[in-house]
Amino acid sequence: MQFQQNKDEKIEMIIRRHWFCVMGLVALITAMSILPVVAYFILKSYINLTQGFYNIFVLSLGIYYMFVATLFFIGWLDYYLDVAIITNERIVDIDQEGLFNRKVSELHFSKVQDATAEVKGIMRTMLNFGDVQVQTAGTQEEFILDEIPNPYKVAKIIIDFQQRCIENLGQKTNTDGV
Amino acid sequence: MLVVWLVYTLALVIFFFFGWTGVYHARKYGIPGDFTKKAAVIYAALMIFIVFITASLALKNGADAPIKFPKINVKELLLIRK
Repeated sequence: MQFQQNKDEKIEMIIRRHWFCVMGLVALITAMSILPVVAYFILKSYINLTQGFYNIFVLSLGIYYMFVATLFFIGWLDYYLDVAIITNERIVDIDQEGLFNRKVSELHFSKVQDATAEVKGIMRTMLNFGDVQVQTAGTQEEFILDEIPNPYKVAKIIIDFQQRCIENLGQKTNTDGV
Repeated sequence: MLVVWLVYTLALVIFFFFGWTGVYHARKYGIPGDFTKKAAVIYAALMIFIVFITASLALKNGADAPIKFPKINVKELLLIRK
């Protein structure tokens, strides 16, 4: 497993992209699954299938459906393993691109400066999903959580955790100073 | 027909590689308690089911049935009728 939980660290939220983002894949796979069946019934009346040709047809259909299943599985993994984890200490953003590309970045709340939610377009507004940009201190690159549901709520949660983290750090400094 | 079976077997090997890689990813990178492991099992079961159905249909029909390409009625296919 890529994500290692620290001691006393509590997972607050696991965020995946909105389900609407995977609808394109579902539509494609549905169309690809129906296509050979439709083609078979259309061509059946024009082509007289011999035994040998029937075998080729069935085996090709098997290969085709295995391809479709694999395509769907890889696409689904791409969606499902692309995840952001918000804990009480940090944000972990895991970007899965295909099967062999994987990027894991993490950001501690002490380094968070601001979080901005952005919802653009009709579908995003209607279904309430969008991007959350997390600005960081220093030269660290900007953190972007893409196409997540309830972006305003997530941005607020990040800000809340950041403030709590600053308060905790302040208290710790005061007690250490005393 | 032997060539067809060889191509089919080669395709199975390729899909096994991609399938295994996908299942490996699902098992390695899934968060405990999420759906990835179940999805990997469903995917593997679906692949075995497809292989079983298609291979058994082809074997039932005769594993070495002679391939005679079907006569296609082009005129009807193109809807050109006299």
